[in-house]
Amino acid sequence: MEKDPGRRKFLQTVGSAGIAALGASISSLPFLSSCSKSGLESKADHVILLWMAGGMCHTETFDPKRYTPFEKGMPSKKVISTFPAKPTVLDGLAFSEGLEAIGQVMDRGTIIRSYRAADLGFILHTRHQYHWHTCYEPPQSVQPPHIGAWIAKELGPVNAVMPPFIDIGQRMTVGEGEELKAFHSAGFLGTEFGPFAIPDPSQGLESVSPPKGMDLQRFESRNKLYRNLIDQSPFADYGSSYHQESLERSMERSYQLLKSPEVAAFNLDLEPSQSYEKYNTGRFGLGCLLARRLIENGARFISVTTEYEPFLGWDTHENGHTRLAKMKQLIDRPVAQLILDLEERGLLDRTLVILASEFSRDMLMEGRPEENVKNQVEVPDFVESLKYYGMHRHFTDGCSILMWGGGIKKGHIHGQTAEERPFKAITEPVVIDQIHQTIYHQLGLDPETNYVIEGRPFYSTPDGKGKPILDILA
Amino acid sequence: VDDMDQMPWSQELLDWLASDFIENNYNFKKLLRTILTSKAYRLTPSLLDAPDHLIKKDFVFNGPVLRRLTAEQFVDAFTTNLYPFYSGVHYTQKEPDGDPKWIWHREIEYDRTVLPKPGARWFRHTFDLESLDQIRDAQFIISVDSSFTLYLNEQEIVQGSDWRQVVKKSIPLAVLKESNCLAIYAQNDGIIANPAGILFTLEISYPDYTQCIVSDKGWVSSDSKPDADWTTLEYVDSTWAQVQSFGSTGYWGYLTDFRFGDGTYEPARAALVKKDQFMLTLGRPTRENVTTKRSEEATLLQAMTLSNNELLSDNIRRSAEKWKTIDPNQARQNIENLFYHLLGRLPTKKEEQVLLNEIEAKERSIEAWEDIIWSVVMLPEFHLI
Repeated sequence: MEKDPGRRKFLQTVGSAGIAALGASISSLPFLSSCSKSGLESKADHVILLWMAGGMCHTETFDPKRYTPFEKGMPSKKVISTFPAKPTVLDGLAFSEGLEAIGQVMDRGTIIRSYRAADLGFILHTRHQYHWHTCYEPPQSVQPPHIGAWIAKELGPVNAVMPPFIDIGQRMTVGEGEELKAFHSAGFLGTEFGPFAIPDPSQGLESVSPPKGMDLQRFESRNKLYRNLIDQSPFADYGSSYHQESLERSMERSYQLLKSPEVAAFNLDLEPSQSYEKYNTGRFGLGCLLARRLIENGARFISVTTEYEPFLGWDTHENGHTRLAKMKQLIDRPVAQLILDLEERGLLDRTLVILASEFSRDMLMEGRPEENVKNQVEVPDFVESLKYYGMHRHFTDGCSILMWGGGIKKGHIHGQTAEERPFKAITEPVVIDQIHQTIYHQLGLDPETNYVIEGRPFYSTPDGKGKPILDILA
Repeated sequence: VDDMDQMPWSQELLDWLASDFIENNYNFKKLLRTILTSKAYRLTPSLLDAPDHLIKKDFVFNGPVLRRLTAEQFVDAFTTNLYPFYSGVHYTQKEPDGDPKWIWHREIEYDRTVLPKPGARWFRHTFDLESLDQIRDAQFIISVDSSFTLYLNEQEIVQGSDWRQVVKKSIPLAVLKESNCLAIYAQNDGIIANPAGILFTLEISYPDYTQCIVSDKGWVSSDSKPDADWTTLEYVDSTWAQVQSFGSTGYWGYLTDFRFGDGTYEPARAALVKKDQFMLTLGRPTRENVTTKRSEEATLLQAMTLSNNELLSDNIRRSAEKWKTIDPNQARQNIENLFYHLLGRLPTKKEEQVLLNEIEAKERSIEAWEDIIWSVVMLPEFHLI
């Protein structure tokens, strides 16, 4: 496949009939002309995205400010951080109480404190999640792929039997399932690169096993029957076709995967119990464990989420303080253990781990200082009970992103946010296309990776823009 | 570019069709008839060597191109010939009798409603009847995800463990009183929180009218085991909570079978059912974008789904229950019918022998029929039309 020369040159060299012809495709396969490998040296082979769905408040987690303990009747505008700050392994870096384990592994990674989410008007989670994961603002006329799908397409799995893009922890039956499906997709790249979903990591094995109630022996005999029928089929006499081969090939691959030894990686029961217990804080923790096991067996891109369910998880519209304590407990030990385990197995250097959320939160501000949007939560003037003690509004101007491994600097702090409200990014601001391009940069992918879809080139980030954050690269 | 913006393969033919269409007063049926009865359309379908075959410079038209079944077409073909793939639709003009709502115990965490955890729940609803002696009959329909026992005035009426098999029964009139108490013990299966619901309609027929009692917000429920007399009218349920209603469709859609009368009802067409993981994987697009083309490439994820998807396997089992037989002559007949329905032809001697051997090898068990049905439905011949 030839390297695509970029948009302007493309339009110059191909006539209009050519463009029209290119649009005529049964399958878009030949028209997805892949860029040749960029010649960039890659620093990472795997990516794990730890997705804190729902808007993780930075001042209550990785960027704590002045501690203002709960006092019944305190004015809301006096509430800054509802947890005290605790030191980490790095001098000058403190985390909110409850994240001590992650604090201890910050000498292996970088924290970006100055991420700014986009202005998308009235704040809706799934729109910002869509934007974060695809780098494109919804709605789009073409369905943009999830970053995992781009990576799956460009690099494929490390181990051929593994699905290249795996998504752990998100059920689609919860609220806003339709909107979630919109970006949990390979879009125009085709379902081949779509997410392999494992909503419950402890049942991960089921998704790569023969159907319930079918043992391996019967599974093999069923496959034999199938092959037999195909061989006997009079249809075969008409000559083979692309469709036929494609179907048969995919069924064969699937059969190989479902009985391959690699499926043991999906079985959490095989993890020694001492190790298992370190991760066992809930579905997210076990998801981290599953991710580690899959990386060890050659997965490429894995997303582990605390799960977006409207008004639950990080999405605190009330009871912010109480729930944040629980969320931090859910993530602290497993995330730290994941980093340590990867390091112990010699995988951390080539595995890029990212922890992020779609935006942050604040007590009072909705949106960002220059662009307030309509409030969604009533914040009383005085905090009478714990129910109102916490960050319940959506704040987009300063968020924390943590990155480890994959050639990222160790023990580094990038950017800072203000010490007084509004807690916005004040130095070295970072936006989403930079995050995506940093990841692609470390994977050795061409920043202008694009495909011609419906007659125009569609880039992995809008117009191929987004300077990688060179400052955080080792 | 959109399919609609492409250059036509034969401008003359397109122009001719267009003017013929106009001349026939824009009659779609005539247009379809013209196309479908044409020699060109009835040529043997041609196979593609490669996806871009059609636009090659040396392309010669040999017949209609073989296409792959879309997700919805696959499901509908399955439904029509084997077993209704889905039990409920989300878009319909014919709503179930009585307009009941899906209800379940309201689960709250930190002041917020969440998906219900697995486990047992208890439900109650009391209602009055007007003139007992005028009642002609009393019938009900019920469906519960995932299992239930129904009591009326302390009497156990019926049990069920499959929400897809809607239960319809008559109530003996002797059970009815002036004041009545419905009680349901129900279970939500699974390991993590997942959708659960009760759908219920009771129709009491009087000479000139009918009274309907349905599942709705007025019911109450509990998540802790109540005292033994919980099915009685007198039991005090003031501590029970108001149920949560998931509306008329909830997670399950309008059940096509949720109607009185013995008529067969139109099965749920795939396009009218909300897209689920199965259809998504097989290529059904999300509604956020206008998708004019679907890739016909078979992917690993699709093959895995077709190999082990729970809903598909369940439906295959249900259809195998209808097709299986221990009588060898009947088996031969069933195989012929299977091929006829699914592939539009009779099996060759060789194919028939392969399948008969399979049945014998698996001792004429239902597993043999499941595997046969699965294998036939996975043949490229079934998927390519």
